[in-house]
Amino acid sequence: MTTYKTSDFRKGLKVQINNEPYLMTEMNFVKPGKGNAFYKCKLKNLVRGTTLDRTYKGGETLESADVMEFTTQFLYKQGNTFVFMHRETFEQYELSADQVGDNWKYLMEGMPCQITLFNGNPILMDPPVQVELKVDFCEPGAKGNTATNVTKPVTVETGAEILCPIFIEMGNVIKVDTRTGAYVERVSTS
Amino acid sequence: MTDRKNFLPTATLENLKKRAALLESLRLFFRQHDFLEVQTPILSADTVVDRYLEPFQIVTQSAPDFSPQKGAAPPSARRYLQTSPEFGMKRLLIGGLEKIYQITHAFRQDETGPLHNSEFTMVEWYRCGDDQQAAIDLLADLTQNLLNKEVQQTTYADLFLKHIGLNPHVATVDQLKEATTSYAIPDYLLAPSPQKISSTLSTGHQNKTEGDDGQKEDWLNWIFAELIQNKLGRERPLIVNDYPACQAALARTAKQTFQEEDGKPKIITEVAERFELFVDGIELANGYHELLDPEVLAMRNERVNDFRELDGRERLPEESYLLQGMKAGLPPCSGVALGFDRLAMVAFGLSTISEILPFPDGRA
Repeated sequence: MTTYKTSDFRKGLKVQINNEPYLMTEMNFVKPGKGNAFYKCKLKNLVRGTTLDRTYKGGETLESADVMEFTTQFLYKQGNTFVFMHRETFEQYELSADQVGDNWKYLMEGMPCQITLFNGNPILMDPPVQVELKVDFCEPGAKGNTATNVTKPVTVETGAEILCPIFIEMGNVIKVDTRTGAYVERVSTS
Repeated sequence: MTDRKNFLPTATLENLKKRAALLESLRLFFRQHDFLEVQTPILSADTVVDRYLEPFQIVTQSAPDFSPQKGAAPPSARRYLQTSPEFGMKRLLIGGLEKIYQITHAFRQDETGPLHNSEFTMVEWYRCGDDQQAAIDLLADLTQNLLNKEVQQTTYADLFLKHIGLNPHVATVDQLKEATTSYAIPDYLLAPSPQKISSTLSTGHQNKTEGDDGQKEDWLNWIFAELIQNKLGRERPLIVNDYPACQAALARTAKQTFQEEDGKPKIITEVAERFELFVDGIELANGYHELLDPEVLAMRNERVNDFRELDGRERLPEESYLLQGMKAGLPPCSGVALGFDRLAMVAFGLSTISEILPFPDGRA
């Protein structure tokens, strides 16, 4: 573990506060002609996503967070556990349903997913930004209704419900943005 | 990494030309006011002893070649890049010059940011016989001359009264805390580290006007920097004067009487005859009605070094040619240091110092 002095502070640093990992997303150096320097930081909690505003005085320190990110493959879900495998070392990592959160909606076997480890333990899983999913079930769209701002829920192959334009039909493959959960476009109609 | 043209200047050629013109106007101003341009060593065995200024140190590998002049000591192996030309210039006043200015580079470690560069251009001037107000008037003249805006003046106490309703010279830490509860107060203020100046370390500082235990200083600095400074000099340049005695640095202190509300007795306290110029929330210049008493300077140096030690910083030399000179007699004077790069920034409406420096930190 490294100790960062205020003079090491910069955007992108990963630090530990109260045993939780944070990413420094902003750093502002303020040094009045008199008195101490301030380091005004915005810190994003890597587990909860919350943001913290902190002001440090020159000379204060923060511990580095042992954070690692790499790409894995989603293997399978067993009960409440999601299992991922490192693509190079083949090591397996398990995340709970709580840790995976809403991202379960996009997980297909074999999908490349980013895993974040903190102190060797997985804390975060990020699916690809956009995923393609097949529509398993939906109500037929009303004939002749071509308005694009009308939506309906469809069930995709993962079991999740996604709001789609009315023209989407069973068997279509749709692209979904995993950051927002929003429908992006229809990929194929087969 | 993405920018492959790091050899090019960050400032536009247009801005560099405007910068040169501003430098000319500055020299003209001083010429018209009968000031002599001087040059003092940038690399010196002496350095300003400040709790929060970190000078770059140069340690020579071997004793430099030196043909001793009469009475001169060989140069020290450890020397400092100046954080300001203050010591050298004051020694010139002691030597007999009365109105001097210098445009030079100053260096401060670990100071890089939108308004900071570890190497920057400083304009510094001294005039013998000036009290605080005379020096403020000269700074106001210069500002008006260069920025074409009329300058206003207020006191540090009035700013605190206006913004947090407290007189900073007499308020306690608890009162300052209470007045700012609605703000995000940094941890280092709420839970100050046990590293306070202890009585053993402060022994020898009988002069109580020399400041608080450091905690109040931290509070005042934070309130000023975070809650007040950004609002200063927005419409017109503003000079703030009469700082708390604990921020005297190299300024002298003066007794001041504050009239409290009806019925309450007058409060007599000490203030530092220090003043600063703000434009658009940016601090441009800092001036002192200069401290003359070498004993007070020695005491302040020792106190600052005690704090530096607690902060985990190196003690800086307390002995200096300046201190020797002050024992011989520094004539009454006032002096001002002005950050030229920042002056150029506000003059041309730029928001970062790299827009006015050809090669800032990272490209230097």
